Amino acid sequence: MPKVLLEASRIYYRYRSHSPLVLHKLDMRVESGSITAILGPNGAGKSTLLDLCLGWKTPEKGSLRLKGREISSYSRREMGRMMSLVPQNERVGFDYTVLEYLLLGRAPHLAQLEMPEDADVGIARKALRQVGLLELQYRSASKLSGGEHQLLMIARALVQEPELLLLDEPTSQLDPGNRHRIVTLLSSLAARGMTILFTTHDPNLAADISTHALLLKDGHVIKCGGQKEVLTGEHLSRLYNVNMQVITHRGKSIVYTEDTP
Amino acid sequence: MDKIRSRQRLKLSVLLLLLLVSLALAVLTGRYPRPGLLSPGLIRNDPLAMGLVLNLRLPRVLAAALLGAGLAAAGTVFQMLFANPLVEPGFLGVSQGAAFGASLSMVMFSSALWAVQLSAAVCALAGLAFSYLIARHFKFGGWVLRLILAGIAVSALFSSGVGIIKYLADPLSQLPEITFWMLGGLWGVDWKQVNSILPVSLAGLAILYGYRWRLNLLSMDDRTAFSLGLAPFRERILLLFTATVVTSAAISISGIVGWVGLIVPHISRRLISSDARAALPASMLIGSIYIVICDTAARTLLDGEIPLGVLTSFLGAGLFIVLLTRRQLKKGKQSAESFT
Repeated sequence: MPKVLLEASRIYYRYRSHSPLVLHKLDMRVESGSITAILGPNGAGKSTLLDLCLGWKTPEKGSLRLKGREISSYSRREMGRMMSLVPQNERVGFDYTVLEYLLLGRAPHLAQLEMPEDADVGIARKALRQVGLLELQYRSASKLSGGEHQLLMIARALVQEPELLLLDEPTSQLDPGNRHRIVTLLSSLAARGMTILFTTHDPNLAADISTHALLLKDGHVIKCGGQKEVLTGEHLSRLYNVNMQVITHRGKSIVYTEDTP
Repeated sequence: MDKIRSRQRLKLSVLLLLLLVSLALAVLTGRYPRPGLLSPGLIRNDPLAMGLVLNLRLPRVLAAALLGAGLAAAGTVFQMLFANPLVEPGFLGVSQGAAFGASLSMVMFSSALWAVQLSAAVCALAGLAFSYLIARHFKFGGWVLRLILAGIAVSALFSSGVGIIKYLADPLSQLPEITFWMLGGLWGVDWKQVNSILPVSLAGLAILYGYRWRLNLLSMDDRTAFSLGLAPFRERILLLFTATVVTSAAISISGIVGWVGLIVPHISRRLISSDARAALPASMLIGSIYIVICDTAARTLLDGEIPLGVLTSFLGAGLFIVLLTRRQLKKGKQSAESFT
């Protein structure tokens, strides 16, 4: 039986005490080594779920366990070593070089007043090589293109050497070339045993790389499980309120929207 | 070690050397026995020259170095924690809070150094806390904009408070004291004053220096910093508190010396790096050199003394205009939410 890395049971979440519930009685299991896609329309609660997994938000009720232990019982540094986040976009405060930016990912491995050393620089360079940006190591991180910056954020997350990689809509602002690069990279990371959990608006991205999927609508899970079982025309049509079909071409699933007659 | 870090270390060593040279020249520069440089040989032979150097010039030059390092370090910390190159302690109610606290002490309690320092520090921290709390309740703009607007409002409130205190002050004794304090300067600084701020300033600078790499992490947005294993709120509060204490300790003996915390971090980022591992020590060194030179000019250029705060504001504003018109401020991409 596959090992469960992250398990959410009966999670309830709302932004403020009297505001409506954003997540209702949510259950989720993320298996070690899996790639799980969280799909849902705008406002479904996808990013909120990711924030709960990260520990950035705290559920009102329910239990969220990482390797069998409540997330809240981990120290901040332990959490930083267990999982890393690739946000949708972020503010880069100042004009760091690519290497300086990547070294930020070593923070959870260093004590409070410790600074990165040669070994950490080696780990950062290895991550840069993995994402194909090694030749840009001395370039200003703020001068990279959108696609390069997305790869850079993934590289920084890899520098954290996490067991679980969280990505918030990793390809939402990318052209097809850069999208393909990210897809290949995530697939190769998963092949090496990394567990990946990502949100997306793009069912084709989920079909391309995920092993598991979770469909979220208005804070409720409407389906979760293996990719083939979840990403069906029927489920996706119910999720997005449009007629969606899934066809298989050369062994790959392709999702498309069909006009209602 | 990568080549950029080696180059940064070399530049920092050059700055340290320049600081030592400027300290030595500042101690020798003055109007005794005639305007210009004092010969080192004369110091050995002339007891008056020796006394002048050891008891008047040396404490003043060291105070200038400490003041410059403190203001510039605090400016760097504020800019990095708020991820905004236009922030400095003066913009967040800290300097005006300290001014209010110092004037309040001079008029209501005591002009004793410890009382002025304590009152300035408490009110500077109150200024920062008010700016922060008011910004949280503003219903307009992004976080940094709200913080700056709240800082402007709090500074204005403290300024009006200073106005009332000046109105109530004794025009013959207290009012000149407050006015000179507000102009900023290091005249009359002696060993007693230097010693009174030395422990707090050095401890504060050491804490900021120790945290210099983490400033890079804290310049990222909260969610990113959190995902990197930090407790961003707790660490920001610690560093803001330390930077405010360093600022108020320095200005408790100098009065308001403006623009250093804004301009020097820009210069150090441009000359050395945006990475705070190098930018923070560079700011401390450049800040020290800048104030040592300005203060030496302030006491030697004319027969009478030019207030240091007037000189740094004049030069700082000029440099600010030049920096902003010549090139974009050296910082990265910034998401629209920071300003809007």
